[in-house]
Amino acid sequence: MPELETRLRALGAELELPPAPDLAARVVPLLGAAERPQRRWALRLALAAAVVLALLGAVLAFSPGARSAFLEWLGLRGAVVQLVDELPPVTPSQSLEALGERVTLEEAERRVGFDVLQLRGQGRPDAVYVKEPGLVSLVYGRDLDVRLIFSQVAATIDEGFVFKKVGTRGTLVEELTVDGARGLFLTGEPHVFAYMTPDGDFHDEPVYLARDVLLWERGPLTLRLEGELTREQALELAADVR
Amino acid sequence: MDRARRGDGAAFGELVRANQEIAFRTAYLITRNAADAEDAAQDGFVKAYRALHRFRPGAPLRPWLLQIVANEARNRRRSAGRREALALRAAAQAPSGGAAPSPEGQAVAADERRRLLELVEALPEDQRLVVALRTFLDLSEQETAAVLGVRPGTVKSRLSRALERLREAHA
Repeated sequence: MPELETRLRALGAELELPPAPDLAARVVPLLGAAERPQRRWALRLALAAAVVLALLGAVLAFSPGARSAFLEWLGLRGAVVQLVDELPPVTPSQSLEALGERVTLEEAERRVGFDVLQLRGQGRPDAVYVKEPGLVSLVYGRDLDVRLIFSQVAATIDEGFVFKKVGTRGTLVEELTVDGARGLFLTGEPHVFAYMTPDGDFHDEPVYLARDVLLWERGPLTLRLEGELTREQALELAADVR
Repeated sequence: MDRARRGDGAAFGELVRANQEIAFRTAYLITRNAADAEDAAQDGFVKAYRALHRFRPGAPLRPWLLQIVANEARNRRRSAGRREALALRAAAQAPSGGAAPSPEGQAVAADERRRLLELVEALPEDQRLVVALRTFLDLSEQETAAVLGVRPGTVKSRLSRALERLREAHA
């Protein structure tokens, strides 16, 4: 059995990989400019809160890793919608892993430090996931038959997650009002869900293949509801969280 | 490490030097483009420096670094154009051990290695990567999990499926 692995390891030693550059020599001179992490994080969040594209140029200059990827941004506090030409590869089978660690509702509340909202009329969620420092997702339905995913995050300047939706131009994004607060409804072509951690890194793999999604703000939380929903159904569910 | 955390750029440079080879190779296996892999590794190290205050002291550094570099690499893979194929070194000699094999024997061995590489390259992307990271680069399960953004258990099961597939294809 292990013979194949041994052969693969030997093969690895014979691969003609390009030589690694002297990265230390390149990186060290850049470090002065890379200091003040908090400031950069605050700027990221400011971008997330921006309504639309005014800062696009700044984003491009600011995030060399995403030079060509950023076509459009739409944002809520703690949520970013990015429209691109092509979606990243998606592996739906890993989907729920992207939501974090499976825990009890009580444990999730203990870890994130806020009272987790629930969808009234949907009963207890079938699973609860938490991704520290502050993302909680309630899953309604099981395995391949997940009906709804209701995620919530407390987005602040100092810490928190940013939801990031990546859609193609076929994804329709509609601005609306949910309970007096701003919201976005995404529908149309599939899009993917990823998140951003406080150090400013987008973790966009594994990703969740999202269906119709409502994003909205409520008090200090940014909420995200996903399922096969019409706009009206989504709004109805959103009006009934507690 | 402590010096780097306190903002000593030269100390961080030593950490980069110690990890640049594996970081670049990891990025290359994801992007399959040397220029993209260089950018990804470079930006990944800069990001890591900026995030050092969040690194948990005592935790292993390499999985954390590789995770950041891999994120950068994935961002580039999506936007980049040309993907390079993996190749064997032209001058690759037969594996060590025993007396020098005959020229025919060497040719057969080289053919077999090429065939095995082709089979790996033909695997679905997620399996191809897990094989490459675990066996070609000899990353640990934990490091591979960090790079792929999955749990170690997923690495194990994915690798086992991939090896199964390779065995069947090779039979």
